[in-house]
Amino acid sequence: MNLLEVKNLDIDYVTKEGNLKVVRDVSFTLKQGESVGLVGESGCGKTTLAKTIMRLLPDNGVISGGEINYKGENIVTKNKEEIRKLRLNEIAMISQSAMNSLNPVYTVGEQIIEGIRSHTNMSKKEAIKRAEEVFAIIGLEKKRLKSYPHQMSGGMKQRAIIAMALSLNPSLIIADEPTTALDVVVQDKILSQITEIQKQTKSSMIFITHDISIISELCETIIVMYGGKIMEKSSSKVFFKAPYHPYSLGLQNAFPSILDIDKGDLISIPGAPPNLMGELKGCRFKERCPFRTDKCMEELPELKEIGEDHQIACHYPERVDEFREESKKKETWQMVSDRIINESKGDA
Amino acid sequence: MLNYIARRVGIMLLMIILVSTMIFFLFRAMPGDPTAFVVDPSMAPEARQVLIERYGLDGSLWDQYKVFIKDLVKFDLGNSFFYGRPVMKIITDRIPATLILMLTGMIIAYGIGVFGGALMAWKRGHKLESAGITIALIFRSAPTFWVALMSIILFSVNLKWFPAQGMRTSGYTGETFKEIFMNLDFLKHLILPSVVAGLYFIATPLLIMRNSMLEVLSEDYIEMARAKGLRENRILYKHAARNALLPVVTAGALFLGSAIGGMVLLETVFSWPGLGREIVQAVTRHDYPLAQGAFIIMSSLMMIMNLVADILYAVLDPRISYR
Amino acid sequence: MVDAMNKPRSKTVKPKDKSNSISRLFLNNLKRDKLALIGVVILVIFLIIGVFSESLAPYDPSTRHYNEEGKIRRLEPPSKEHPFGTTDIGRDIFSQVILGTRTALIVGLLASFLVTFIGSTLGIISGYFGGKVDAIIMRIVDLFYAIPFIPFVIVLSAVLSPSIWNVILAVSLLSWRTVTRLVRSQVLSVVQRPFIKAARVSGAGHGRIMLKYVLPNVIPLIMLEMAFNINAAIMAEASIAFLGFGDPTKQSWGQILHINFVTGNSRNAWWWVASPGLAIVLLLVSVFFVSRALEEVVDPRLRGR
Repeated sequence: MNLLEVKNLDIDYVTKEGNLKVVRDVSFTLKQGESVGLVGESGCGKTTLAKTIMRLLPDNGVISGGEINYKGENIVTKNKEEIRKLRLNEIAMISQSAMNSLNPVYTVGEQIIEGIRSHTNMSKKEAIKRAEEVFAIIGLEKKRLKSYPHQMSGGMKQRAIIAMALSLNPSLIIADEPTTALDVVVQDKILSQITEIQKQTKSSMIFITHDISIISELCETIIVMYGGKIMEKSSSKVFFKAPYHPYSLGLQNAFPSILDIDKGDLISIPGAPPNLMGELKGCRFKERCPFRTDKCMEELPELKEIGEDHQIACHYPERVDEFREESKKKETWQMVSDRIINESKGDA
Repeated sequence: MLNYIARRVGIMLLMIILVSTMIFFLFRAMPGDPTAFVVDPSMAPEARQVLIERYGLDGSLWDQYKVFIKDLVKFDLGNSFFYGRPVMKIITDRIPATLILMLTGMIIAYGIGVFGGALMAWKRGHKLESAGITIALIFRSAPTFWVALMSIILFSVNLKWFPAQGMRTSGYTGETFKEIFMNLDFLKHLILPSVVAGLYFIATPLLIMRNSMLEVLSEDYIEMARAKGLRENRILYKHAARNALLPVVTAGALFLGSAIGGMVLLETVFSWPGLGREIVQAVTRHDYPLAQGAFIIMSSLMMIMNLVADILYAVLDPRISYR
Repeated sequence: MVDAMNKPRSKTVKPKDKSNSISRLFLNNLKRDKLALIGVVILVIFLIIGVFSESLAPYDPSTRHYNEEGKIRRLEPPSKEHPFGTTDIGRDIFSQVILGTRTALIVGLLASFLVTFIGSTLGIISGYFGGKVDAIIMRIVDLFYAIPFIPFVIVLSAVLSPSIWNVILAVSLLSWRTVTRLVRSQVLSVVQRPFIKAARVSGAGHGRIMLKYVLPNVIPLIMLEMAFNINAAIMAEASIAFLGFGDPTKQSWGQILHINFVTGNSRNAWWWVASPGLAIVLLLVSVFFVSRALEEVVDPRLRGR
């Protein structure tokens, strides 16, 4: 059985100016022990998607369609108390901003014990023992439990957050850019620790990042999101050998792995994620795609199977070789940049 | 921590001396007979002469100041013209009444204000929020003494729920603290003035708590607390309110100055025998030593409470280091 | 947030542009914010009453009124001839409240102007020069924070003769501290901006830099503080007058209540108590609504709160 099934999920943010269609028609599944990587720029809907799985959307966030089935039960229709019991106990989150995710006026230990005790009948002593255990797993001294957040370094706080997420052996861990705020050395250490632990505990993981190179080591499946939609979904092995979607190609060239850094120039995809307000026509990536055609401007590409466990949302899977070649060149993306400037002039 | 407190107490004592100095020179800078501010004009000439020498009034201003400071250090604030007793004795008799009224008012205001403000932020956009803001706004814009007068008309004169004035039913005299304050009669007299005081204080904690809560609620650690699967009440009071409380404490300390001023007005309206009413009467009776002494003590009280608020803040916020 | 950061910065160099945009934003705000609009309307009515109070008041406030039988109209509740009733010696309370408006407005406007003038001058000097000057001014501010307001004013009135000028003086003497603190902290950040350094390098004098470059950037904050201080000053005047230390020659709301209280009529003549108090509440609430709308313009973060 699948641990998690997301089916045709739509999420909106209700604002005074209208509805923001932050996530549209997203589907994927996750088996016990498996992990999936969600990749995309900020504002592409990946964090919203993750929060929705824990039902942590802000007040103006609405699930406007679809299902999220966790262990066969639809999370979307559960009431507050049922959701509360699920959090940390079943689904735990390692948040984006570990720096600010700990309450400054309580010690780290107090905060971990609080989480443990709100889901179990453990006595304070037992909870402290459990906290010490998870601290040991993550490589923090147990005396650190008595520290206040401001007395710890960024790396330590991040570890403490990971320890908290592990404290009740959850089946699913959602890691939302868990290392962005840290320096590179600490990043690597923590990432390898996360992989290690995930393998040991056999929990599933959703790993969110904008850095595509991290996924290859961590996750079996990769989902590339853009403008609230899935652009490409594939097993990591296949994806890193041969990505299809022009957006994936852009991302790949923007974050080369250390091995092929000398192969070509680093590029960046010009422009910004699309405005998701109002009526959306055509492909979400059309403004920034170097290969767009008239069809892309009018018609939204469906997610279609192009290989085993490999789906993309592009009208032109057959032109992939040409795309791969072109997307390595700086000029290709320069052209997009010029086009964006021209179009904005046209508007004004 | 002890060092920190010691240092703060030192600064406070210096401040008290500075404020006293200011008030000393303010009185002496006035035209007319300088002795009139220290020695009762209605005294017999021989007795006057003794006191003039005692306070150095025949000497220079500097000599007088030295005597004044020496006396101040010994808690000697001179003699009241009206009562003919030491000022310090009169004031220490009045302080408990003022403090009890003020603290009861503050407990009412901060109790309701902190919880109400937290709730208002939590239920944003709810009717409760706008109602709370409107009430706070009205009582902030209404002069305390007027609210006091109106409440007497309504609750004492028309409804006859509470006595209208004083601390005790007339005819009753108590000697010890227990006799005066520890009984039902006193409590009955305390309710109306302390509720009015509470209404006067309430805008500050209520509005600041609400704003501060709104800010705190958008913090990452609140989302984390939700992600941990804590119950709403626990998130609201243990995580959000605890942090939102910090600015309320700071604002409360700064508010003390006007709170003491408010006491002066309230005590006058309710004929509450405290320090505030005493200072008004002293000035009206041209009893300068008493007015001067009452002022010095009121400033000192304010500074002491300020210090208490600062220490409380340091206890509440572990990030504060006691430099 | 981006909005909040960029707005003042992009306009820092053109002060005129800035004040224009503030008044325009404020007017736009009025269309949206009904409470602020009501505030402005009430405020204008008060201003008109204040300016024309002599001709608007139906009677002289100290005239004693007699009824048909030739008896003094003692403590009469509101009626057609006397909409707010009469005092214990037959004076018309409505006329007294009308005339009190002027005192409240004069004290409110003048004192708040003085307070913000003293406060922002010291605040700009303190923040601009920094170092020792700053330290000294801030210690003085600390000292003034240690003085309780009403008791100080009472003691002051013991040595000065009672007049509204002394009330204004007393209010100004004690209220500048808050303005100084706020202006100083904003100046500290303004001074860090490149155009101030550029002006220094180009050899502009301190006075010129403070007036031409620093001041325009703190004007919105100063205006806001002025608005908030109007209320504080009106309230202070009312309190002082109520305690009997006000100007005996000028009608004021606080004094109406003082006479009511000392003549022992505060419990039997509700109209005498209610009317001046309601006038104070109405004026203060309207000033508050207006200053809140102004605050939203000055501090974009507050919009939509």
